[in-house]
Amino acid sequence: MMQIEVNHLVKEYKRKRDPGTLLKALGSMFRPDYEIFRAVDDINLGIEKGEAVGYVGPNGSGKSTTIKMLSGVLTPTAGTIKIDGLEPRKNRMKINKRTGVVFGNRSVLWWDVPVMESYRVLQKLYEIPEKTFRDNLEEFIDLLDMERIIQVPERQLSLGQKMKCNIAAAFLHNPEIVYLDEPTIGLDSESKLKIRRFIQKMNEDRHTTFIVTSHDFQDIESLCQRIILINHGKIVIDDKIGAVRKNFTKKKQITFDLADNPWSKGKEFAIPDVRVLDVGETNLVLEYDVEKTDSMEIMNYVSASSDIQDVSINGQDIESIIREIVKKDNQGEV
Amino acid sequence: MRLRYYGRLWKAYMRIGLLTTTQYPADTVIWIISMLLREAAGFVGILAIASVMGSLGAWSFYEICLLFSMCAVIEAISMAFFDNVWSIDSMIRRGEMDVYLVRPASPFVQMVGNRMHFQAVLSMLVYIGIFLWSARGAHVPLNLHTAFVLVEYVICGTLINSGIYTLFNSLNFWIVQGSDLAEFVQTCREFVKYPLHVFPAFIQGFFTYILPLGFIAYYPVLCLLGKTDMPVEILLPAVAAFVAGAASIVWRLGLKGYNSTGT
Ligand SMILES: Nc1ncnc2c1ncn2[C@@H]1O[C@H](COP(=O)(O)OP(=O)(O)O)[C@@H](O)[C@H]1O
Ligand SMILES: [Mg+2]
Repeated sequence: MMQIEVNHLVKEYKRKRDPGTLLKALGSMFRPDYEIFRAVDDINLGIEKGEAVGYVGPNGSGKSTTIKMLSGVLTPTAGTIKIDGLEPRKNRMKINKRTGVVFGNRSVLWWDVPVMESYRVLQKLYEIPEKTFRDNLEEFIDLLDMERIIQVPERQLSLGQKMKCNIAAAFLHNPEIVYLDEPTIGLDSESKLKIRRFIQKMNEDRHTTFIVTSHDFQDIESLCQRIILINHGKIVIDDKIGAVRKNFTKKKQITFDLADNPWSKGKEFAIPDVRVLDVGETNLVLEYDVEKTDSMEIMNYVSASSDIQDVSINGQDIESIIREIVKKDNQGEV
Repeated sequence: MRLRYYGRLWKAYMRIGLLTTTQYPADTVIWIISMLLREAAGFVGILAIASVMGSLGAWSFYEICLLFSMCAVIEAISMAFFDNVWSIDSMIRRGEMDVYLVRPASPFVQMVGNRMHFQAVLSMLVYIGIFLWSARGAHVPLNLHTAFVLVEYVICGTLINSGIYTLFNSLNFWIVQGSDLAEFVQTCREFVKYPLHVFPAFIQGFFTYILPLGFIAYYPVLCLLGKTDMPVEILLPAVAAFVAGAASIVWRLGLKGYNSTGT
C-alpha cells in the first residue's frame, strides 16, 4: 500500500460570475450568478513513504488546492484521498498527528509572544513528549540557526526568520508526511539555502515524506527525486526528475573554446536548427535541437574549420523544460 | 477521555492569552474603562426607568440589580473565553481556519483558545461583587439549592450565551453579512436585562422559545428568588444542550463547506 493514495480527485469552487455592468451587479445582489470552476480535475497519485515529490505548475494550476485537500483543509468535491489507508477529513485527529503542513503565506505561530511560547502550545497540541521536544528543538535550532530568534515575539522577526520558525514548527512532532506549499516564497537566498538543507536532512535522516510546491526550481531540483506537473488542474507529467530531463530535453547548449574563431569574422554557421547564442574571439555558444541534429555532427563541422581547445555540453535546465511542456499542453487544449 | 488533553491545551492557551495581555497594558486599561462605562450607563438607564415607573414589574431595586449583574457576569465569561467566535467572519475571509484544520484538536477549541480576553475577567470580578451585594439585598436564601442553581447557571448560561453567538457568527460560512446578524442578536440581548414579564407576551415568548436568552438571567433569577413554579433547574441544562447542539451542527456544517482562500 502506498502511503498517500489519491484517486480521481476533483475540487470545484463556486465563483460569482463577473456581472459586467453595474446594473447587472445590482441585480446579482438578489439572484447571484454562480459559475463552477474546476480547480483540480481528476487527479490520481500514489506516493511511497520517504519520497520527496515536487509539485509544480503555473500560477492557479491547482497546487495549493491539492495540498489543502491532502492536509484535510478542504473537502474534495469528488474522488478519494487515503493517507495510510485513512481519509483525512474523516480521521482528522489521527492523521493530523502524523502530518505537518507549512503554508508559505501563512504563519501558525502566535504573533505577540516569543516563538518558544508558541512551540510550547504545539507541544501540548501534538502531545509531544518532553524528551522528543527538547531533542528536536536542539537539532532544529542548530540546523536553522535559530538560537536567538525563538526568544523573540514573531512580530519582531524578518520574513526569513519567521519562515524558519514555521518550518521547524511543522517538524516538532516527528511527522511522517510534511506538505510544504511555497516554503521559500519571497525569502533571501541565505534563508532559502538553510531551509533547503533542513528539509533535505529531514528526508534523509527521518525518511519524512514530502510534497513541496515551489516557484523556485532550485528548491525542486535540490529537494526532490520526483516531479509532478499540474496544469489547469490536470496532471501532465509524473516522473523522476532525471527521466523528465532525459525525455523532454529538446534543446542543448554546446560551448566551444576555439584557437581561432572564423564565425566571429562573419562566417555563416551552416547547420540548420542550430542557433548561435554567443560568439567571441575564441568562444562559440550554440543551441541545438536534439531531435534534428546531435553534438557529433556539430563538432565535426566546427573542427573542420577551426581548432577545438575545449568543449562542454549543457542540457536544458528543468525550469525551461517545464515551461515548454506547459506551453505545449496549453496549445493542445485550445 | 480527551478531557485531560483539552485541559492541558486550555492551560497552554491561557498562558498565551496572559502573555499577550501583558504586552499591551495601555489597551487593557482603556478596554476596562470603556467596558465599565458602557455597562454603568446601561445600568443607570434601567434604574432610571425603574424609579420613574415606581418599580419594574413589581421587582425591587435589589432584584433588578441581581438580574443585571448576572447578565453581565455571563457576558464577561463569554467575552473572556469565547470572544474569538466574533472573528469567524474575518477568519473565513482571510482563510485563517486552515491552520486549525491541520492540527489534531477540535477546530472550535483551537479557535476560541487562540485569543482570550483576560481584561474581561477583571470586569467579571466587578460584576460578581455587584451580584453578591444585590443577592444579599434581595434576600436570596443561602442554601444548597442556591449553590446548585448558581453552579448550573454559570455553566449553562455561558453555553447558551456563547452558543447563540457561535451559531449566528457561523452563518458567515454561507452569507456575507453574518456578523451583522450576530451583532443584531447581541443588541436584542439588551431586552433580557429587564424583567421579561414587563414586555408584551410575544417578546417574552420570543426570548423563551425562539432565542432563549431569557435563560441567561431572567429565569434563573426567578428560580433563585422563588418567584416561579417552572422547573428552571431542569430547563437550564435542557436549553443549554439544545443551543450548544444547534451551534455545534451549524459550525460543523460550515467548516465542512469551508473553502479557504486562493493563494
Ligand atoms: N477559495 C477559493 N475560492 C474560489 N476559487 C479559488 C479558491 N482557491 C483557489 N481558487 C482558484 O482555483 C485555482 C487554483 O488555485 P490554487 O490551487 O491556489 O493554484 P496554485 O496554488 O497552483 O497557484 C485558481 O484559479 C484560483 O483562482
Ligand atoms: Mg499556490
